[in-house]
Amino acid sequence: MRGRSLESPIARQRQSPSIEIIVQDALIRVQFAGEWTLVRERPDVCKQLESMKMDVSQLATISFDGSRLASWDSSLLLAVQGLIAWAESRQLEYSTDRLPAGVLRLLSIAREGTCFSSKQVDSRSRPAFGDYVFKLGRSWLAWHRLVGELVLALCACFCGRFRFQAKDFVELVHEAGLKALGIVSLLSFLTGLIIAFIGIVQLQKLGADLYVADLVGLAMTRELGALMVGVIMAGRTGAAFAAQIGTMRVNEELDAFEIFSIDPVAFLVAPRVLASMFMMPLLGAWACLMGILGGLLVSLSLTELGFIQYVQELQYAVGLGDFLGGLFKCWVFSFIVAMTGCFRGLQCGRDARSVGQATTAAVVSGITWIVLADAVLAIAFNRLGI
Amino acid sequence: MSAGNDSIIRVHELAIGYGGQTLLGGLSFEIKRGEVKMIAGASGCGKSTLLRHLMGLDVPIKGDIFLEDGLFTPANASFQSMRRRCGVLFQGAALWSDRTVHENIALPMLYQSRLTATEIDAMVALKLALVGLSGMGAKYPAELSGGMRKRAGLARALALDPEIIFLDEPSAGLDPISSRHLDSLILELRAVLGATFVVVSHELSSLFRIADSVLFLDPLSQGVIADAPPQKLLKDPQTDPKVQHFLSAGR
Repeated sequence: MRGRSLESPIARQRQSPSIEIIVQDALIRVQFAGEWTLVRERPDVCKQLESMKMDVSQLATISFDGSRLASWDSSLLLAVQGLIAWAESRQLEYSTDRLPAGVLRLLSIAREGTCFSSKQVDSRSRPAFGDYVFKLGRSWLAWHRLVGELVLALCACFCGRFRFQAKDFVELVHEAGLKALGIVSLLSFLTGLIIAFIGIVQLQKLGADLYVADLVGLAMTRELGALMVGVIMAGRTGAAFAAQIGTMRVNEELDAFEIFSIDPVAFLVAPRVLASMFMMPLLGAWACLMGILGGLLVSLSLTELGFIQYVQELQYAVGLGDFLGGLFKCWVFSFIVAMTGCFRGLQCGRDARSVGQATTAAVVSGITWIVLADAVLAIAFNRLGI
Repeated sequence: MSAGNDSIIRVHELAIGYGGQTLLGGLSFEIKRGEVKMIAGASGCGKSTLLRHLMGLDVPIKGDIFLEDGLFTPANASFQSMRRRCGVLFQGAALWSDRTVHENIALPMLYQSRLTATEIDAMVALKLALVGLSGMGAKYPAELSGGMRKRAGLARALALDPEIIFLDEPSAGLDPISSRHLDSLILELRAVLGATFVVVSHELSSLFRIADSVLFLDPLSQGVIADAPPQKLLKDPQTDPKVQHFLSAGR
């Protein structure tokens, strides 16, 4: 959006933008001169008109003159639009005849565009509190419906009425399990190492270094192994499920499933949930082992405890119940991770922004529900004497 | 309400929209068996939204859609069997990106037919040949050009030998030659399979090439402003000026 006066002499090329306001009887003539471009500081035309304190009732017409313009761009359009609004609010006639033809054309296009946009509904208006509550309620219902549909889909699978692709299941096991082995190993090993280090510093004050094996073993098997795997998988697998299914929503791939009457819950959600529930307890067991090894490394380095003593102490401290309890937690967390990921993906909107929101929501709600479930299970295990 | 003998889809007083807002209302029209019906109109007038409702993917605010004599709604017990009579080519083809072209076409057959694996393989080869993609079955959608993706999408739409094929902007993003090829393919398939095509497009060249009749939607009046063969609309002085203007731009 840029123009240049045909008659502009070279002497006027570097002129600053200026205006001259001439009042003759009932006519105001606004003369634009110089370079009216965005990069130059321009005078505020309306403010200048206001400062002249004219008796508007004596005026009839305002005319704009661009014959002394050296060059112009949309900044001139802005000034003219402001003047037109000023004139209209005071019921004055206005004449734009002496403005460059390009300015007149752009003004007309902008006016048409404004008429069109004024009919559009503002779809991004701020939702009310009631809308949030309504959305929450709807989301809660949708979650329960998904759980119900999953149960039906699993029943259909086990009864042989629906079969998901074995290839999909194997790929998902690989994605959700084997590919996560590295990060789970590293973080669990470091967790065990940190617990052992903190524990040894405190236990050495009491001369009870030996119990570092108990501390690390119980912490990892009962609590941290499962929790670490749950959090890692929520950030990794849950987010991936939400992004995959959300992208399928954006690309209309989920609609294609619907058209062919292929149940997306049976085809997409069920194998993901089963793959997670198959792999996460194994990852949990692996995480416990890695954490215990981390503890062993610190114990061997900072205490006089030997490998055999460490293992023997572990055998005394950690029972099968502790280990199985941890695995059960992993199993529950795996269901939460897979379901929140798939749920957020299925709930995703039809634009790229929604995929990001679905992924974030999957991770946040996944971790929140894992921590809540962990608290409930900790109390339940305590009551059951596990 | 019963559809006429030659009508396969009948729409009665349909009101559609989203987010609680009505986009189009009072829509009543018929789609005849074996015809190529084009839905046209300016951008944002609700063409694709109407198509989603005709496919049963969205629930209308008001009104009914009949597939022959059956009410086409999820509440109807035979909704899924009615839907199996439809095939769709989505705007972006919507091929399942983690599956090969062969798997994309085979999957609906695997779940919705009683064909054996060998028969499915042969059937996929046949569908690919129909759309001129023989030998492309092993490729993933990402390895295909835009035109080839559309053809693969059309092959998948034909997978279950549907009676009605919905095409959402089939020429969008295609060069004029690919677009012309796709139009010829639609006409050939109509002639060979006798299927009914419902096409959403604002491509005027396609409209004159393939449409038996065209349904014009108007965002201002929120309804249908014309429903007739394009040549007739062009010649008829009674045609709405907006439609005349739209059509004459393509001549």
